[in-house]
Amino acid sequence: MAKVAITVNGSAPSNIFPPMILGSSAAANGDDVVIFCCPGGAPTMVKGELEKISGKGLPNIVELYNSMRTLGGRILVCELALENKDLKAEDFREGVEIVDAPTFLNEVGDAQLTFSF
Amino acid sequence: MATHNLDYKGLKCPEPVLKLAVYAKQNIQPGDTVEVLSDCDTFPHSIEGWCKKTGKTLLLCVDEGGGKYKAQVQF
Repeated sequence: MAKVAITVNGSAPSNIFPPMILGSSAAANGDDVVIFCCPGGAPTMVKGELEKISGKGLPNIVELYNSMRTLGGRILVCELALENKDLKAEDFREGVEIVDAPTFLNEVGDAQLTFSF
Repeated sequence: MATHNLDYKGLKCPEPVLKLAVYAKQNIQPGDTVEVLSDCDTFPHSIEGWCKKTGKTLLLCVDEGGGKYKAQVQF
């Protein structure tokens, strides 16, 4: 079992689809998955925002998110996003964890696979 | 030991294997067998890789024609 760390630093579909596709696939394979949203990617994790994102020929991104969570995947949002994007912790989807960058780094220091979008 | 039949036709990568993993976590016991139908072009590769990675036994994966595949997995 591998540990997979993925960072997200944008809110465009091209920023959030790859983490959800790769992250859910890794979780299905039994890997530990940690996705860390920098302030640029944090808005995608606000309640209702994934529901607005779709892509021709691409899977339903909400289903990817829910499946990944069911399989143990974790979604972290950088605490700097709160002030930077005028967001509150309760604005985010169920299951999202607010952490600082050192915590993320401590948790994925032993990751075998890393991606950034 | 139960047999489960899952029809994932119409779903594209990674959904057939992803849904199988979720279903397995919630419903399948060791010794159960699952039959999965898919019309995703990459399904034969992905189910083979998934079985290897997760320690399941791929009993068969056959091309049924018309772009449809049937796999049987032993848990």
